[in-house]
Amino acid sequence: MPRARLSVNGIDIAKPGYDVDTAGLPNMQFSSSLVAARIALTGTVTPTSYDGDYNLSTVSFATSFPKPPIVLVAGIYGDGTSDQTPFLQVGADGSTAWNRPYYEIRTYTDHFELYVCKNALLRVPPSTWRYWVFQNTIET
Amino acid sequence: MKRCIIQLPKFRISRQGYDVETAAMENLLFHESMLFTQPYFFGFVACPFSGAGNLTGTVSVTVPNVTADPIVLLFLSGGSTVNVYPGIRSSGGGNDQNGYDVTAWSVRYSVVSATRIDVTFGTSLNGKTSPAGAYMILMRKA
Repeated sequence: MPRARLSVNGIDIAKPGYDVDTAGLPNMQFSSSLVAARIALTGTVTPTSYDGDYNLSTVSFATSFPKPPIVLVAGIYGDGTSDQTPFLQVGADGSTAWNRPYYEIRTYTDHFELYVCKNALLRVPPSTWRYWVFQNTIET
Repeated sequence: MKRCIIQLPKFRISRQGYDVETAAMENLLFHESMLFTQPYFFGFVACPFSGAGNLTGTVSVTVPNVTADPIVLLFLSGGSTVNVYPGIRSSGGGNDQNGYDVTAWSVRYSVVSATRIDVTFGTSLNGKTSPAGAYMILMRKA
C-alpha cells in the first residue's frame, strides 16, 4: 500500500496506515492540493523607545512581498521562557478612549513594526523578541 | 555529503551541513512524518460592514473538509497594504454619545462544522473605522 506519491502534480503523503491513492484529505499528512505558509525569515529584535507607552522595532525585508506577510512574535525572557500571549486593554473615560494591545505587529509589504507596551498593563514585557515572517502568497 | 533521500515512502531533506542518512530529527528540513502542521487553508475574509460605530457582523466561510477541530489563526487587515495583530494600538478624544477618534477592532471565530467556520468582526468604543477583513489560517492538530 503506497503512502506517498511523487508525480507531476507534486508530493502527496498519507497518514500511516492509509493509501495515498485513496485517502481523503482528513487522512493526508501532506497534500499538494492544499497550501503552504513558508517561513520567509526569522530573527530577534530589541524594541527601543517609541513614545511614552510603547517601544518599537522595525524590520525591513530585503525583497518586498506582493501582500503584507503574516508575522508571529514571542517575547524571550532571560531564563529562556517565552511570552506569546496577546491581549488588549480597552477603555474610555468620557473624553478619551484607548485600545492598547500588550504588543502590536503591523506588517507592510516591505517591513513590519513591532510595538511592545512599555508600561506593562499586567506584567513586565521581556526586552528581546523573536519573530517569524510567513509569506502570504495564497488568497482565496 | 548526501542531503536528500527520495525512496518512497521515505522522503527526507537535511539541513545544510548534515548528512541526511544520519541527521537527527531537529536537523531535517523535511521528513515524511513531520508534515502534519501543513496549513490547509490560507485565505482573506472580508469584513461585512464598514464605517463608524459599535458594529458587529458574521461571515460564514466554506473551507476544505479536513477536520472539525482545526487550529484557527486570525490576523486583522486594514486593507491591501497593512495587517495588524492582535489589534491596532490607538487612542483618541471624543465622548460616549458621539464616539471616539479611536480604532478598536476585534475578530473571533466559531467552528460550525468541518466545512464551515463563522468569523465575527466587531468594532467598539463607537470608533471611527472598521477593519477591511482578516486573514484566516487553518491547521490540523495532528
